[in-house]
Amino acid sequence: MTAMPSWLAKWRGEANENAVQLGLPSSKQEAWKYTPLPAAWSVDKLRARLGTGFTQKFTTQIKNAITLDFVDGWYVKAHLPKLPAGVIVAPLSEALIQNDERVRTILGNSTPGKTRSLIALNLAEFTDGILIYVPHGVKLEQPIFMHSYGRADAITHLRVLVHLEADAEATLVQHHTSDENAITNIVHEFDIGPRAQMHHYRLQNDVATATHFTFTENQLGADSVIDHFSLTLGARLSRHEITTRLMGDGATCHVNAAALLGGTQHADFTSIIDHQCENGQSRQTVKNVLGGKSRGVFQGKIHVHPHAQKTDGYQMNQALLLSPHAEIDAKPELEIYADDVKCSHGATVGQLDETAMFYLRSRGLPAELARALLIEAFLADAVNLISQEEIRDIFIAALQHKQAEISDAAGQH
Amino acid sequence: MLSIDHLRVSVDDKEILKGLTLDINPGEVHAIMGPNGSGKSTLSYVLAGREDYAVTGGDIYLDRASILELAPEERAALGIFLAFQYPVEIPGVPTATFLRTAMNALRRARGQDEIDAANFLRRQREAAKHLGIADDMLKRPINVGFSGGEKKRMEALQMALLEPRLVIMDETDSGLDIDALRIVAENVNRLRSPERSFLIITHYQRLLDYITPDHVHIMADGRIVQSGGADLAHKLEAGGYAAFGIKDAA
Repeated sequence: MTAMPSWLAKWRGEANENAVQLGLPSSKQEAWKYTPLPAAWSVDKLRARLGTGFTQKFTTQIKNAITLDFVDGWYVKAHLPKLPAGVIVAPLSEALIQNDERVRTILGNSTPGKTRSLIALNLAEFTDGILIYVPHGVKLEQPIFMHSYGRADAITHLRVLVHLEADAEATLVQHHTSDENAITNIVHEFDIGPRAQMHHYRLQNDVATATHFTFTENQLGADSVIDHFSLTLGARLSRHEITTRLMGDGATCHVNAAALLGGTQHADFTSIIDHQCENGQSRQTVKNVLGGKSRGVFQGKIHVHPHAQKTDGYQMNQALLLSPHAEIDAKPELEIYADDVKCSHGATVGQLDETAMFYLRSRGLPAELARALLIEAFLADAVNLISQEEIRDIFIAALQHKQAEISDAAGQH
Repeated sequence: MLSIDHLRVSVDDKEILKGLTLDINPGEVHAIMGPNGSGKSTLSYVLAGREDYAVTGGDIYLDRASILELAPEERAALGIFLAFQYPVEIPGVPTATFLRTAMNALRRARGQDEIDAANFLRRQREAAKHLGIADDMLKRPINVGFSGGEKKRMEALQMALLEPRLVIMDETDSGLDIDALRIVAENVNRLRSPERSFLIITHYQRLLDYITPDHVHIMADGRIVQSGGADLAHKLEAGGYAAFGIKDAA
């Protein structure tokens, strides 16, 4: 980062010490039990670093979208149409040059990562990111599209800060891609005011040798809604840790995710939904389709505090194993301290239904097409939760592309 | 057209078909009647290419070429269509999407141009009208939440749209009320042509009240034990399987 206010320099210094002291998470820690990191890695090895090679061109298919593009964690260009009065959508580097107080407020309120070294390291190392601020009552109609691309061997640290005031609304779509061995560590903070609505959709489509860490911290005010969907298709190793705190009465969260993996990919989706107030609603659908020797991890905790009465929680985790060598580790956890709540959860693990395969093939569908149709159908009830059609289409296209890759690989055996 | 020659089939090392022989010429309607456990459903699955069955002897020829090594989709491309006794529910796949995908897969395999959306809709609507299938049913996932009769009508719709040369109907009459039975039978009668053959597999004679077969075969213990004309079905209805010396578990 080029220009940095003194308060930030101080915080980054502290965060750095903190990260070094904590060291990287180890699979001996319960939260990282299923996701071991390479033994040779250390905090120092994960410091921000530029990559090599050409910069991929990317385009946004959504008309009129607000777009911001980043390469190796550095802001490169933006398309920022005229925004409603008071709305801020800016690269973090620019917001910091302006010394925007909001950055300090959101960062100051955020989980400092005292116990999580990768978050602390992100604070110490982040090169850029986005600040989104939507004032009271403003509904931002155009989606904000963030594309982050890591060149070969790049180590990217990005920070995304979002603050919606009461009754505001915004949509953030993220698309991550990379070249060989790129490492990404991105931290999001969403502060959602009363009755505000946030839609957050992310597509992680890194190259198969990449590593991708994501942390998302959601704070929800009374009667606000967050609608989250993560689609994981890429990276050798990835983990998304998402914490959603319902801090006002009547808040609603949708924390959905899907992954389609092959080869030796490993993807971990770890979610904590923290019901702190009354009448909260949480909905979670997590789907994994695992081929080759891939491994999916889902850790889903729902915590209902003693005074969070009338909480309504639902969690569904389903995995489809396409190969005998694929693995799913699912750990649902309900911790309920209130006595008047409705919480349900379910988990299933299965294989492609042979009878359905035969039925489709007997109607003339070649085996690959029948398989693709069944996989798409399996993922449909997660993907269809993206309410905006043009965004959903981008995700479905990425899914279909990945599916073709997986069945090509399967065909070679 | 279809020639089944001394076919022997086992499931989990148990022999189910024990040297079954049957010839069907173009345009003919054959009915196979048999008690439960005689191997009727096994025959229909083996013809359509289901993989859990081991063919241990004999052969199946379509136009004098063996189809034993062909995948289900290859057999479908050659014109074999199996109307399932228990049509499969597939959540997440809208029926209309599936129908169009299947039609185009078959057309590609048969060297024909794909059908465009407008033509597909027109043909689908036409065929659905004959079968009393409402538009909203076509938007729902394949067979999910359909009644027994609706599922069989959906099979009939596929039969009409996929233009098979050999239709195998596996116990289509089971679980059907009389109105649905009539609709399904009318569909068959409408589709009868000099090029298209039917193999109707059934336990009871009642479907044959609406579809007059050219040939009737009685199957027991994995073989055809008697063959005749349409009157054979009436004899069976009058005297039961016992009159033919066959034990019926049902």
